[in-house]
Amino acid sequence: MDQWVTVFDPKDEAPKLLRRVVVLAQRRYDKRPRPAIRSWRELASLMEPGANLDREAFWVLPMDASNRLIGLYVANIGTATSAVVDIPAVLRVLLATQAASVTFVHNHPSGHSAPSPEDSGLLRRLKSALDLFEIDLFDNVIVGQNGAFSYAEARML
Amino acid sequence: MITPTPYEEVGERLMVPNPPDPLVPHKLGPLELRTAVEGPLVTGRRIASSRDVAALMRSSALPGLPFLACLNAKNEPVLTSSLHHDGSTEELLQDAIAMTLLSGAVAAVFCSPHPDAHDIEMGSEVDGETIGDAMQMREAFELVGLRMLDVMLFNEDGHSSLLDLMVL
Repeated sequence: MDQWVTVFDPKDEAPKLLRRVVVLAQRRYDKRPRPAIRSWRELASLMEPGANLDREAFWVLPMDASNRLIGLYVANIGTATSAVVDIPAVLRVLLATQAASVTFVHNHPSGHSAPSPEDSGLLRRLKSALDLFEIDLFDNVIVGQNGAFSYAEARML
Repeated sequence: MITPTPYEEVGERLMVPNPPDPLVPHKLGPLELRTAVEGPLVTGRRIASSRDVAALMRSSALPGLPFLACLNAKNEPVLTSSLHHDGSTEELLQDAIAMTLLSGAVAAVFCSPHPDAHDIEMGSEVDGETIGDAMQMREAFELVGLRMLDVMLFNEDGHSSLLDLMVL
């Protein structure tokens, strides 16, 4: 994989766990040739370790035109109940990686993966920004200890 | 008349530097820009008013072409570029936003050639299409979390700021 990047405050304990999530996901995915992502369950499985974090984190997974992951970026680390996502930072990642599509993944520390109104509001803003650059939204996946939720599966994209 | 302005009021005017190398690349990082034109890369002092924008444009813009200055949080130019515009507003808009994002800027000012720029400066009304285009550009910037600080119209005889005219 070209890029495995974590963005974090080195004084914070949470990044160690985030780094672990990234390392685990990398080990699971980073094979040659890179496999195309065929279903959201593959992404949920890849990001499953993120379900155990005690605060929200938001990952950006840029993909190429063949649905292969280009990288994995931690866009933000939030609190136990929310993560503020910097849309320009997300777009910088997608433009810099020349992504054809993207999947967003975030965790719900509560364990319940059902989307909140805030999740859907953020996704609407992200989607509007993606549309400007004709970047497809592959999926928005929420992982929690009690399971995962896919916006695409639920036809909520 | 005092007009509302997001420009920070500072005591010093923009000192326009001599355009140095390197040239603005057609590719910004890995991104191939479709409308960027090679020209001087000018970074410099804080933009504090539309006069500063005009000065920057005069020193840096290629004649007759749209011009973009990307600004950091201190309103300092971090990247400037002329853009060639062959009719596709979408491409121009995409490249303007992409340049602003990838330069690490948080805001931009856009300067657009306009045959009536000087007349507008002298008091003529701005046409609806120009206002509509400027609003579209500002909304697109805001959509991605950036700020379009001003849109400046210019021709050989003068310039007018849509912000100063309170139409943006």
